[in-house]
Amino acid sequence: MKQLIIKSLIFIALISFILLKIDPFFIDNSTWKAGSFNSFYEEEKNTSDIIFIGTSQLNDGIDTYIIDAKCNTNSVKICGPGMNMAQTYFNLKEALNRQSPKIVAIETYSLITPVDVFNNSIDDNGNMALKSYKTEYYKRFGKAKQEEICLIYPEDKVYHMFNFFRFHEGWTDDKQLSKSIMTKLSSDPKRFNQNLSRGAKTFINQTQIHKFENKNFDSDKYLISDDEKLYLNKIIELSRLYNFELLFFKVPVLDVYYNNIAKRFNESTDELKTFLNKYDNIKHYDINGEVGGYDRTHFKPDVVSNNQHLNYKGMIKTSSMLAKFINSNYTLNKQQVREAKTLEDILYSNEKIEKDSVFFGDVSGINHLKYSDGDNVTNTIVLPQDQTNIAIWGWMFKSGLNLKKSFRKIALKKNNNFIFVSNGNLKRVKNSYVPNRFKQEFEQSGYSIYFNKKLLEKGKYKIYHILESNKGEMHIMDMQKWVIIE
Amino acid sequence: MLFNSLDFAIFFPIVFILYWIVAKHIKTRNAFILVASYLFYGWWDWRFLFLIAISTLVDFYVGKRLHKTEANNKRKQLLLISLFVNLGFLIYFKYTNFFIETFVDSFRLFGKQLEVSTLNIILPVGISFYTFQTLSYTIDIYRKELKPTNDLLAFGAFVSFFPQLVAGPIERASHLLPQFYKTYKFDYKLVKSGLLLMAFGLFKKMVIADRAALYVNEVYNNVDDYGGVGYIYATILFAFQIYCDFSGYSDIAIGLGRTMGFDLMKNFNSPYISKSLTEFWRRWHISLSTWFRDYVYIPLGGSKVGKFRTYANLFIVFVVSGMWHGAAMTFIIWGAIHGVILMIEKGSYKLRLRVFRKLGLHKNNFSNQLFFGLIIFIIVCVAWVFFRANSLADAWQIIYGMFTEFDAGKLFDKNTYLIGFKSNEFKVVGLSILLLFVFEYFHRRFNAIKYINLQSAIFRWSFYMFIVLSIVVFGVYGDRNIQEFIYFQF
Repeated sequence: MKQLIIKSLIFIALISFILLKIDPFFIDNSTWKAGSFNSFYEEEKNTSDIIFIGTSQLNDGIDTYIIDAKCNTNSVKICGPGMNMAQTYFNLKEALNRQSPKIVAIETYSLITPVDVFNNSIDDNGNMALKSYKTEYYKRFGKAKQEEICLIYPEDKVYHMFNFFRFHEGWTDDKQLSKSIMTKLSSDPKRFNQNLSRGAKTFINQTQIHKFENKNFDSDKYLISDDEKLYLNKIIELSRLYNFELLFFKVPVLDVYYNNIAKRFNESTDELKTFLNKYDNIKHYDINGEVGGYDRTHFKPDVVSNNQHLNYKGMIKTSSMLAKFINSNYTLNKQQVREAKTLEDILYSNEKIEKDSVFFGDVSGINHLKYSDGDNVTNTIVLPQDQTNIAIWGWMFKSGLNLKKSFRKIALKKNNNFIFVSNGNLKRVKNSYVPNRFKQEFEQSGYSIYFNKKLLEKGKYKIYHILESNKGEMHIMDMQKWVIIE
Repeated sequence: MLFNSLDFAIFFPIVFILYWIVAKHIKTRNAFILVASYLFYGWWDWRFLFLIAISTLVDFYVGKRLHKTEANNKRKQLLLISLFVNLGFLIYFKYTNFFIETFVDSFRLFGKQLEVSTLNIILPVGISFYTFQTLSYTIDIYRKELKPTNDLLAFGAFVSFFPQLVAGPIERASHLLPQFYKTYKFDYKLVKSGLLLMAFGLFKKMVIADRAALYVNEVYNNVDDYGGVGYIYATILFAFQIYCDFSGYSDIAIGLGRTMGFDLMKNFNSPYISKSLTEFWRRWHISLSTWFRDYVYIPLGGSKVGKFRTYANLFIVFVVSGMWHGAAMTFIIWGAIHGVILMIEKGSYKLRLRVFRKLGLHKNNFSNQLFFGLIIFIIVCVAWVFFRANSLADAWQIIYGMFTEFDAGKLFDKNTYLIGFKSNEFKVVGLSILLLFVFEYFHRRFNAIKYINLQSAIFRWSFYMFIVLSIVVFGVYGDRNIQEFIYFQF
């Protein structure tokens, strides 16, 4: 008997170890939701200064790379679709098991938005009513997940606790499974997630704007409910226990929507402020009050509702604003010299980018206007007002770096508050000039990129070439060329 | 409580440890088995525990009185009491509505519409199994083949023994009851082999049977939406579904018994390699077929009452067997098909032997085995259509469709072989069935569990892990719901 018990325990321990190791592979890792949680789990323990928690609004609204570059911090972002205050609390609990942040920044969409599942998140039996977004599965096995699962699925706790049970049928869709596994194994989830957000380069059209103007939003439900207050209090308790500062903010909403519901929106924001004002370690940043919402070019096209998501342009602006708020209100590593690790660290710094003698390239032109046309040579192109799109073309390569195995990007820097970086790999174009001057192998070094002008703000932009090797090494070249958007 | 449920995963280790703590003391141990068995059964619906308790008490006292009584009339009366109580429960719970429906339908045939509604009766899980088990006890005593027990606790534990309570094997008192008088020493090897057998059973049930059920249910529940090849695939898959479901349950039951030191009878022996239907019934649900042989076929006269009576007896046994499975015409026809084929098989034995000799089919070589095996498999499959179909009309439609709507081109058409499946599920089911065949082939030649025990620890542990991980990953549970064992309904 003793032998059997010992061997059984060893067997159970071994099988549990294997199952827990493969557990993260059972969720779909190719989504931003999983990417967000994965990026948090891959962060080195106790290295994060700021933890952002919130819904998809936060995911699309804040770029932690920009925050870190501008605030000299290391931050992580935990986002899940429709994450209510209770889930925010459990995710924060999980975060505090791994990190000792100085600031926890909570995006307040779920608090302010007039949706019943957020306002009444706890049912009469004390269980969590919201079951549709499934954020809980992205958490790893532990006390926080167990508490949350017990609250959501009181009857099938074990089944929902482990992804190898809950999503064990994942193998039936091999395409999805291999995509998920490849994403998990091959990409840095933080960068993966950022690339997904950067891909949002469309915006709301005028027809939708009219619908926003005419829609009657149910203003009575803009309130901080008792359920939300219950978990807000728990979050505040955590802040005292773990000694961190709390920052609440709401990413900007669409200006026409804001105008439509401004009164009630501001009232609920004030209600939140009043609730939070009692505590000296809590701050509230009312971005919407400051900017009055953003125009349509800052938002992804979506259904006409109170749930609007910022696009890349909106994200750059909001991240910069929040970074400014953090810098002015908190003392964070200001004196500490931080090694520039990311593209944003380099681009957002004021330091001069050193020339790389083997990084070659040129920006040939924009929208049929050339920087060098016979004898006419210029370093600035003014884009005529009537042109709605921008097409930039040029070439770049670096000796010793295989073009097929590297990513090429361009960045357009207006100032330290707005830097637009292209997403993914630039379109490869044949360039006849390069083989004549350099080597035949760089014939494909030409590129082109095309996007809507409205995704940029008006102003003068400096152009940068970026080459990223498949090992993640970053090479940036200041092209000393400008474009003016009027 | 289902063997493939979390409840059982918690129940079993607790019961197992407590059992071995009290195993040395027979009375305490039997009392513990009784309590555990009642808990196991009552988990589903505690009200029906009274039925088991009444059956137990009636048969215990009838058995004792039978032993003491010499007068034939009195003995018959006592036997009738046992039959009346046990079969009474069975008939009331299982067949009342069937009889009402048949009664109404018969009048409808003559143009008379009766306004009689069926009763709202819940069928107690496993009633056919424990009724037959406890009946065998009184019948054996009546026949003076068995002495009654004076130990009510042991008898109660025998009737309700949870490993085989709800779906067999249907044990005979002469085999199982004496095991409750013995003490058992913890035998590591025996327990390990029991656990392994349970794991095999779960694999068969959750990976093969329940996955195959996705296809089968889709076709059989939507007969109008599919055609010939779909029917054929569904029926073949059902043949494996029911085999893996039921033999999987038996494996778990036998393995479970073994972990407690008990030896339960073998219920299946690779039935789909049978070369005749007679052989099939020697390999399929052995505990039931031998029960019918001993308590129905032989009392009817068996094969010693002339040719035609023998055939009639065979037919009766299989029709009753069909009824035992379920209160519906489809089950009766399923039994009748088996009865008729067995009659033909018996009646044509000499003729077949002569023909086979001339054709060289009498030798026991691989090609002949395959040939006859395939024929028997096809016959069994045709009969399974009636067993699985939701109604007689559906069954006829499927049989008719199999032969008239057969389109060979559709055999390899994704839209046909992937009904209810994603392509990977089809591969997993196919591969698992193949593995099952390979395993059973080797198991017939040498005991697979013993063979595994001879291997290195690394191989053994990897094998155990493979089974557990396969069940976790490839098993059907959760959103697609835990599937009850098919034989629970009987």
